[in-house]
Amino acid sequence: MATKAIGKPRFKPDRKKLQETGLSLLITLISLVAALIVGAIVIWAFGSNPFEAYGALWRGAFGTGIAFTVTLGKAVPVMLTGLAVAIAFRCSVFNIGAEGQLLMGAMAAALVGAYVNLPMVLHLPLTILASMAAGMFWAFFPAVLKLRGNVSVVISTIMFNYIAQYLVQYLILGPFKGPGESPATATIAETAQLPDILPKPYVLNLGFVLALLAVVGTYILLNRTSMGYEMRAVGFNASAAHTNGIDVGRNMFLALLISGALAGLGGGIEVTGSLNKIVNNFSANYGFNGIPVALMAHNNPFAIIFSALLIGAMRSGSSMMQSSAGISQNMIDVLQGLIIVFLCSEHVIRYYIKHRIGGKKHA
Amino acid sequence: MNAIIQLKDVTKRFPGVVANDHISFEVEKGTIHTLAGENGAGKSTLMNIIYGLYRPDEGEIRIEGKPVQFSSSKDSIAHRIGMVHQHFMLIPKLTVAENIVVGQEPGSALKVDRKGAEERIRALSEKYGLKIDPARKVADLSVTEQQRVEILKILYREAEILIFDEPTAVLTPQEIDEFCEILLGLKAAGKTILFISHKMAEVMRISDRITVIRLGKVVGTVEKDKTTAEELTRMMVGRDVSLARRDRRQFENQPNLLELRDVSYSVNGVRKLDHINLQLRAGEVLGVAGVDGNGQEELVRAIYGDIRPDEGQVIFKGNDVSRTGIRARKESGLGLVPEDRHRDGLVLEYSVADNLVLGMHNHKEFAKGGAWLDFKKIHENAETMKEDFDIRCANVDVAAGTLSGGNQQKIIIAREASRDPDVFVAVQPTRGLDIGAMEFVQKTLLEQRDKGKGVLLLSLELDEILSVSDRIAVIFKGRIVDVVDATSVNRQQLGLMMLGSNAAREEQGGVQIGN
Repeated sequence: MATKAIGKPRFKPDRKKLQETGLSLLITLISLVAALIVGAIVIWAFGSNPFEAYGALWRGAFGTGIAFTVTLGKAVPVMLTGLAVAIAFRCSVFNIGAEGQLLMGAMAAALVGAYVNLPMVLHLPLTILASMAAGMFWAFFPAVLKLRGNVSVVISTIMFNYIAQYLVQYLILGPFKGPGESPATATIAETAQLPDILPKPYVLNLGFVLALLAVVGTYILLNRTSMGYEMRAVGFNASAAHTNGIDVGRNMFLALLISGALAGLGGGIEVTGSLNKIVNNFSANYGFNGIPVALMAHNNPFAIIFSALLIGAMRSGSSMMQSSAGISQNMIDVLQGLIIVFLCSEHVIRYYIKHRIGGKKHA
Repeated sequence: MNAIIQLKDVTKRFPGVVANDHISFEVEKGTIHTLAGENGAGKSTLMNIIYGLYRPDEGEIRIEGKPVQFSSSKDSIAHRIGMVHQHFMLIPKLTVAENIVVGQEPGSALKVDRKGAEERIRALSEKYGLKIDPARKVADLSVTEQQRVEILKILYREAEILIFDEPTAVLTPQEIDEFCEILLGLKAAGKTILFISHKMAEVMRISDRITVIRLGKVVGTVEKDKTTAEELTRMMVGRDVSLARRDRRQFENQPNLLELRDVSYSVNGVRKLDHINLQLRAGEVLGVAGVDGNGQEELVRAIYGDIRPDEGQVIFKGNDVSRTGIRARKESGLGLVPEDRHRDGLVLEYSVADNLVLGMHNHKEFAKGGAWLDFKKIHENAETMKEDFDIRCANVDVAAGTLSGGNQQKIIIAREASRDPDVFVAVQPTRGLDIGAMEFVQKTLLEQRDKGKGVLLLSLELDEILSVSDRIAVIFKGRIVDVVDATSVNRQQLGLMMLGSNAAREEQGGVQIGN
C-alpha cells in the first residue's frame, strides 16, 4: 500500500518509504500504459485509428478550458464514491453499495430541494445534509445485518443497489413525477442549487469544492483521529485490534455508515450542482466507478483526487471520441476494465520490476 | 578428514549490513554440524547461500572438494543438497505423496504414477523411521507430520546433505525429542546434516561439531565434546547470560489479584475448560505448565475477556468481570502479551510508535479529548520506550513488521508494561526469541512481579516455567491438576504431571484430583 504509517508531526524523508511510494506510482503508471496499449489494439482491431481516438479523447477532456472544467465536474461524483469505497475498505468493509447510496442521496436531495421552502442559506445546506443522511440510511441496513447477523456486506450492499435503483425509478415515475412528459422529478428550487464558482462559459460549481473538502475530511478522520486509528487498525489486522480492546464490529459499522454518507453526498451534489432534478438512469455507474477510483489510489484520499480526475477525463472525453473519431463511447468502459485488470496484476508487475529489472537482490 | 562442504571467505552484503563476513568452515561427511547464533546473526542468509537461493558477493563454496556456483536451488538439488525451511512449503490441498513428488512427478507427461510414487515414499519413510501415510491430505496433518513430509521431500530427491533452518522453533518439547531422534537416525544412515538452532539443549544433544556465528562473523567452530552449553551461549551472545532459577519472593498473605472460580467452557460440546480454580496473588509469578492444547488458549481468552465462560466467574481485584469485554478489563489493569504476536499483538503495517499506543490510542495522554491523536506525545512515548526497552529500530516511524521478532516482542512488552497493569498475563512470551531477548523478556516479567504485580506466565518451555515462576499450576485436559511451589518440583516430575500422571503427583506430595 502506498499509504502506510501516516501522520507524523513533521515529515522525515524515509528512503524506504519513498521507494515504496515511488514503486506504487510506477505500478499504477505501468497499468495505465498497458491498458492504453491493449485498448489501442482493440480499437485498431475494430478498424479505427487508435492515435486518432486517443487524440480525440485527450482533446475532449483537456483540449480547452471549458473541456477541462467539464472533466473536473465529471470527477466529482466518482471522487465521492471513491472516497466512500476507500474509507470502508481501509476498515476491511467492502462497500459495493455506493451506487445505491448515491441514488438514495440524490433522491433525498431532489425531494428536499423541490418540496421545501427556505432561504438559500438554510435550504442548500439542508438539501446537502439530507443527501448524506439518505446515503447513510441506505448503508445502515447492510451495516446492521453485518453487525447482528454477520451477513456479507458485499452481498447485502449489492442487493440494496437493486432495491435503490427500482425504488428511485418507481418514485420518479409515480408519486414524485414532475411536470412534463419525461420521467423525472420536479426541478429543485433555486435556493437549493449549488452556485457556480467560475463565470460562464466555464462549467464548475461549488460541488467540486465540497468534494475536495470531503477528501481532506476523510484524510483527517482516518489519519488524525483515534477513530481513524481504530478503523485502520481493524483494516490491517482485525485480530490484533480486537485483542487490544478495539471493538471491530462497531468500527466496521461506523465505517460503512460514513461510507454511505459520502456516496449520498455524491448523489446530492449531482442533483444540486448539475442535474437539478433526477431523470431516469441519471447515474452513469458513479457508484461502481468508485471502486476503480479507490483501487487506483490505493485507498489514499488525496490520490483519489487524481484517479477520479482520470475517470472524469475519460467520461468527458468519450463524447468527443465518439463524434470526431467515430468510436463508441462504450470503448471507455473497455478501457476502464483494462485498467482495473492491469491494476489487479499489481503483484505480477511488482515481481517483474523487482526481479527482472532490479536484478536478483532478494530471492 | 573428509569435508563434504567447505566454505571459504563467503561474504554477502545487503544494503547497509554485511550479513555474512568472510565465513569459513568445513562440514564433515556423515556428521551433524550445527550452526548456532542469535537471531539476525546471519545463519539463514548463509544457509540460503549454500542452498543456492542467494549468490555470495565473495568467497568460495566447495562440495566434495569441487568448487560450485549455484544460480538456483535446482543446482543445489543436483548436488544432492536439500533444505527444510523454517516455514513449510507444502500445498495443503494435495496429499503427502503429491507434495513430495511435485516437480518430479514419476510416470508419463499425461499421467502421474501415483502408485509407484506412494510405494517409494512408503519405503523411504520406513527406512528412516518417518512414519506417515502418503495418501493423506497435508491440510489434515499436524506440524510434526508436515515436517516429516518436508524431510521426505528432500530424501525423495536423494539428498545427501540436509539443511534444517531452525526446525524446532515450531515444535513442542515432546516433539523436539522425537525430532532429535529422527536427525540421529538420518546421521546413522550416512547423511550429512547442517542444523541451525539457538536452543542449547538440543544443540548439545545431537551435534558433532558446532560453528557459532555472531554479527555475520564466525566466532569459532568447536567439537561438541570439548565445550559446554554455557560456553556456547557466551560465544553466541558475547557475554554471560543467566537464565537460571531466580530468587523468589515472599508472597504469602498477599491479596488475590485474579481469581478463577469454577470456570468451565465448551466448544462444540468439547470441554476445553473444566471447573478451573486458580488464584493469582500480588507479587508472584504463577506459571501455567501443560502440553500444548490442554486448554491454555481458552484459559487466557477467558481471563482477558475474549470468551465468556459457560459457568463460573472471573474475579479481577475483587470484582466479578465475567461479563465485561476486553477493553474494560484492560482499562481496569490487565496487561496481555498474546501468544501470536503477529496475529494478536501488533499491527505490522503500523509504525513502532503507533503500535506502542495500541489500545491506549484514545487515552487522554495520547489523544486530545480522546479523539484527536497527539502525535507529539505518541512520539515522545515511543522514544522513551525505545530507550527503556532497548527496541532496536532505525527510528520509531518504521513499520513494526520490519523489525526482528525479538524487537517486535519488546514493543508488545513495553506497551503492556507501560499501562502499569496490576495483572500481567504473558503467553509464550519468549517463543522464537534468541537468548539475549529471552533474558530481557524474563527480566521484565520479574520486574513486574517485584513491583507487586501478579504475573501469569503460560509457556510450553518447562525451563522457562521453572526458572521464572514462584508457583506452578499444571493444566491437563482443561483441568488444573495441581498447583505446586516451583522449588519443590524438578523438570521430570513436572513433565509427568503435564501428562496427567497421578504417580508423579503422589510422589511429589501434591493433592490428588481424579480424572
